[in-house]
Amino acid sequence: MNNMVSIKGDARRLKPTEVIDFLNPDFLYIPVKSDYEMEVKSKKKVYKGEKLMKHNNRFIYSPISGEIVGKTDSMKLNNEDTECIVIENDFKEKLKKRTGVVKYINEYSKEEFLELIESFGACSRPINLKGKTLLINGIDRDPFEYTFSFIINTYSSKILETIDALATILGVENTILAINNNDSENVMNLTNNVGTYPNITLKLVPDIYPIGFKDILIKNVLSKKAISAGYTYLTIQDVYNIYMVLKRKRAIFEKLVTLAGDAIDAPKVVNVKIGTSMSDLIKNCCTITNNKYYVVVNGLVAGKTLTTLNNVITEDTKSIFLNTKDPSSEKKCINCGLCNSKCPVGLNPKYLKEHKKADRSKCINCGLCTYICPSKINFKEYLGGKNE
Amino acid sequence: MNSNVYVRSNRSIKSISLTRIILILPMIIYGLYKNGLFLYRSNLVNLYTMFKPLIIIIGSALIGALVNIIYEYLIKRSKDNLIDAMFSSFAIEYGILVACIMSINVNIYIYFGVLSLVLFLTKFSNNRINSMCIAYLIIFFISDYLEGFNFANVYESSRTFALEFMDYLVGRAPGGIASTHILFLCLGLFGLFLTNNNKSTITLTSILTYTVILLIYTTISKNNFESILFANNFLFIASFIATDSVTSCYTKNGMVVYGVLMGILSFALYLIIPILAPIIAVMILSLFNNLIDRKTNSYATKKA
Repeated sequence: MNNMVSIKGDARRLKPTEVIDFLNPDFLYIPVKSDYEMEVKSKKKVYKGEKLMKHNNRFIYSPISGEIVGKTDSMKLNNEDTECIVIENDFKEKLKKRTGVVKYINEYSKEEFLELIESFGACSRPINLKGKTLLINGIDRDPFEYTFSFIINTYSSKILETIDALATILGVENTILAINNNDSENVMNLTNNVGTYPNITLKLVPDIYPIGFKDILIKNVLSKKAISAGYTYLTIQDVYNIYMVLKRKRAIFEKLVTLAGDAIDAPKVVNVKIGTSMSDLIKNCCTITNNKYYVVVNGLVAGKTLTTLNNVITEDTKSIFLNTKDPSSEKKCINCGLCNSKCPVGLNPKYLKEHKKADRSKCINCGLCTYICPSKINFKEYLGGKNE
Repeated sequence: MNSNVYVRSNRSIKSISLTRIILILPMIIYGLYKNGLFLYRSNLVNLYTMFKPLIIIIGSALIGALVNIIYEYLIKRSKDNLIDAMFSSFAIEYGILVACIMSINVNIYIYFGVLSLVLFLTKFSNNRINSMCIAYLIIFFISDYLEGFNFANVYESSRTFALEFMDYLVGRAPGGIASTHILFLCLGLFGLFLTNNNKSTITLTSILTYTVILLIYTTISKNNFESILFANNFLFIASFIATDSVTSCYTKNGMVVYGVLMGILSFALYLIIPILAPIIAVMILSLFNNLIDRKTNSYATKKA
């Protein structure tokens, strides 16, 4: 963990104190996926949980009840123009079919489990059925993000119950829940409750960046033997989604999103419908204190800058920041080598910046090189790594 | 601008420079005592000469600051505030470090004239060579040509010493204005290590290589080991000047090779021109830092 850093002492690290709800937007925008077939038509009423699109065994469901207004091209998904189905909310949350507890969640077979999570789209990660270890990531990727922390805080008993069920269904030997050792409330809460689930090992990891990234966490938490024996990696969001599917037979209609940054009054975690426009969320949930802000999603260090607020909140949105830019100007490289020595995957960002054809496929886009650079060089712009 | 980082670490050129300057302060204070106050109290120099080391050090820092300000505001037309402009490069630190290894007997006009010119021209050189070495060498050759170059102060040149190991450790040997106190140097190095502010691999490998070669050499030639190791400011140069952020290697392998080459080259040059050996070694190596980084890392990649 030598080449990781502790990002502390910034006023923006103030932890939100509560979860607020924003579950009734006037309109929802559901991005149309190219390989999906439409299941509904314009001007028709839809129920909450009704299928909107279909691809083989997978479905996209309506998070609200209301009327399909039509399609629009004005919305964006990660800065790219995206066609969206527009649903006008009738604020009734009418369900087509009410589904209760169907089965005790530990009793699903592997096949039933896989079929369910595929049809409800509960988990985008591959599940290794032969893996011996189940690793659950409960650490937020970005130091200014509190989404995973609040999921654990709000749904701790459901989370533990689901992890225990997953361990039984998948038949793994070790189940590890990794959380941040600085997250005192969750450490206390889980330490007190984890005794009920002897299968689950609670792993406290230091509050250093970028420990919340998949590859880095696996490298630091699992032994080489466990890695070679096979493992399944899930995030705490996946676990909560799986809970909803196994217990309620419900797709994921809403999710927690951190709303923070130095251009808003106070950081908060918002429970929001998937498909809500970011501009609606910001208008309704915070006060902007500085108009010279940039919109950044999924982390101030690792995140992506959006060109407009007309972006849609999706399953992948963990945080939204309205933040001003660091005022220090970019200087010439001083050859200090910090970017090289701190890179968690052993890349040489200075070299990659100077050599555009060099292989940068290992880059995990954590932004640590840019964060640490004393000359304030934006390496991230040149590296363009992949987000997990 | 799709990718940026909206929060940055506190580490900056200013913080790195200030840390390094603070860590050499004990050496500077000792230098001011040894080359100023002590001589004045022994009635060996007048009031001006007592303050000469202080004037040289403060003057050097001011020149560094001025060069940065002129370059930032008049040439680059930067909109940074005054403090940021002052610390826009390492010029202040460079000035102070050159002053530390400079002889107390240097002609102050030559010194300030050359230092200003070199630091200013360095701004346009794209950091290809260690400017501290260039400034030092020009000052040395001009001074030597005009009036002879001697490291010993009035007190040291009036006596003949038989220096022992401890004398070197507490800085009693002749040397630069503020580069002789080895214990304070070690303290500074420890501070740099703690603050993760130094390319300590270069320091360690260069000192280790030089010491090993010197041990073999002095055993064979029956010369005094300490007098060679502690002469010519080698330890100070290996600790603070060879590790200049801009003109030294920055990769792990590169730093090791750079340090080893510095040790070997310093010894080889010691046999030819002892007093300037480490400074010339650093100057030569600074020209090849990019090449060393590139070659050592491509070798490491192939091996992997």
